[in-house]
Amino acid sequence: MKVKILHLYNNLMNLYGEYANISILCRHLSEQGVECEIIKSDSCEGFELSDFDFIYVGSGTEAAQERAAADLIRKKDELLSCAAAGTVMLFTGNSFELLGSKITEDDGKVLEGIGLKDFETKVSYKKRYTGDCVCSCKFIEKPFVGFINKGSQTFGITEPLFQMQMGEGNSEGDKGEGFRQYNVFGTHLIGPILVKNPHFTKYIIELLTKGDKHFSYTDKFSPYEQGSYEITLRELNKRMNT
Amino acid sequence: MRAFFVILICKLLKFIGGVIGRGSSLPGQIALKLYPGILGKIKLPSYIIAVTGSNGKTSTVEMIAHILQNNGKTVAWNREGSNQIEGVTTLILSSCTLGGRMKSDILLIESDERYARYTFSYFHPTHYVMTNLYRDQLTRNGHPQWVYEALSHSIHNDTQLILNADDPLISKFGQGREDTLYFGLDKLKTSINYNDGVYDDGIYCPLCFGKMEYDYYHYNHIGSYHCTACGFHRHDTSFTVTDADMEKKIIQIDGKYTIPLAFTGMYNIYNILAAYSACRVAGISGDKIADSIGNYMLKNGRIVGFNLGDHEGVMLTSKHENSVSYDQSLKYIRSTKDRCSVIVIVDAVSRKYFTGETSWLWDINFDHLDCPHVENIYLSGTYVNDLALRFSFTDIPSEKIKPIADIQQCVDYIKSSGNEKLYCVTCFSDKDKLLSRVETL
Ligand SMILES: [Zn+2]
Repeated sequence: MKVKILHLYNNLMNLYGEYANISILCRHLSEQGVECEIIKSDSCEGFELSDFDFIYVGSGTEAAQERAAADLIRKKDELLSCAAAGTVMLFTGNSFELLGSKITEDDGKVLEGIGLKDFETKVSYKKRYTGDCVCSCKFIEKPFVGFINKGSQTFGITEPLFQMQMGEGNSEGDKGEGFRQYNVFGTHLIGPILVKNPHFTKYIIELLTKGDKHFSYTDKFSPYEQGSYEITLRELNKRMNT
Repeated sequence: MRAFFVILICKLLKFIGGVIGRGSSLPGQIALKLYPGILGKIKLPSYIIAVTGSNGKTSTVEMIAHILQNNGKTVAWNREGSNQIEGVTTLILSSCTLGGRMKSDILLIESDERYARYTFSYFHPTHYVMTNLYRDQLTRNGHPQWVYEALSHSIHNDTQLILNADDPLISKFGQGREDTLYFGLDKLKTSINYNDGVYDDGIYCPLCFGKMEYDYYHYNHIGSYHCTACGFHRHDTSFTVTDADMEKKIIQIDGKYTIPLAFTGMYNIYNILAAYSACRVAGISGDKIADSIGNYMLKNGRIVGFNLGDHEGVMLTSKHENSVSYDQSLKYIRSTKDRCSVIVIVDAVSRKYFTGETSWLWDINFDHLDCPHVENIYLSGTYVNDLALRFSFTDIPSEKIKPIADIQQCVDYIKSSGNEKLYCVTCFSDKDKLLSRVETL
């Protein structure tokens, strides 16, 4: 079996080591005997999005986000039909804001979103929301750990991806964070979310291999990932309880 | 009269603080509470030199102070590194007369990037040295453009900028400012034709987002660049490292001043050049600067020698959450010749509490250590798993990598094995965890 991966805006949107998500995903796919092909591009021109099994976008500066928005909008229809067809996608950091209906920037400028869901984002240059997170989601038993580093608030998401036990939600006072539509996951949890949450990587692999009847997931022990996850969760739990 | 009392109180608090060993922010903080506009009431020296940037500001300021004092100038400077407005207030009020006049020839200020705008709203530096803007503590700084934005509010028309021409984002500050002076490195033997970092913050033009091209790189995105769209390019320099010989440990500035180096790390060269530039502007001649700074060993504890068993060790203090500072230390180790081992310690990223944010580890190019003379790489501290995982994605042979979570156990293990040189790469916040367990020189 082979999985085709598109790491979109790999230079443009790469503020927080997000390439590591692709590295870890491919390592585990290979361990499961699945071949990986990775295409990296700072533009979505030049290929069919429907050729890919997995599309990933990370976080960038406000200026980079504007560039990405202008580029991605040209493939709006294609992206929406891929999403509806079940293509697995992960948008982390402020790239997930591109999937809503619009982004209003600090100076009032409005960026048009893809409109996969009807939510909107307001960007501020003055205030940043940063901090560690612990959160849970409905379809994976283990809690998630991560970090949020954003200068925006997102409004209008009624079915969030995560419930926050620690850390900022989509907007101030909101415990819901991110969103899921079909197999498209959006979250402000920055950086290597798949590195930090081995159970999420496993879940993504299961989604990617669902079409192959001969495939079955074999658990492989990864002591460093597991160790990192357990120490992070333990220490953040301690912080929450003090 | 009000100023008189506030100055007096600040001096007293500073004195008491010195006796009881407290930090130097508090007196200034109280002075600002009592009289928010106090800094505007002080008669400042005719030279006010400020230094800011992600990396190198403390070392650069120390070097400037050393050169100026060596050449008969009196300098008031924040040597404790209290670089926000409170620390600067303490510095100014404790070194002025009760009448509110500063006695020193030169006021020299290390300034935090994010808070410079507040400090320099009460007075403006005459000269403002800017070293670089990197990904640095993104957990509080967001990203370099965000820091650029914050920093831009600290620049006023009556200030002359002294900028690192090799850093595109820093150079952007000079746009439309005719009197700006630039410093930089010519193409050297150590220059390379690719970005040797994991990520590339020099791909897009900081002005127009066009594609940038480089003639050469010194390290990461620092080098000679031009934008293929708008023409923005590395500015010609007034103060220049024209040659460098790392084997002989010397650099040449402006084609005529030869400066022997106590340490050949690239960042040391940039710090020396920045200090040279500031001191030239302050009226010190090039040969006098060269005499003062040659072989200068920093006193701020960035580089510390130690012994551990049969190992001769060097602590290369870097900054957690700052991949360029790590890359620089790793590249230095790569440039050495003797067989050695390296210990990387990441134990507390924040002094205040545990954080799970380790994305910066993925931004460090640990492959710099993939060279034959590096024999073992010990990983230690709370984040040993994150480190080991990161190293598992390098090309370094896995048998060289030795994760030992407990720092004491790691130190004991190294002590009892081998006699190769040892380099420790870690942060200020963690360095004493090694230094307290070895014999420092
Ligand atoms: Zn340009």
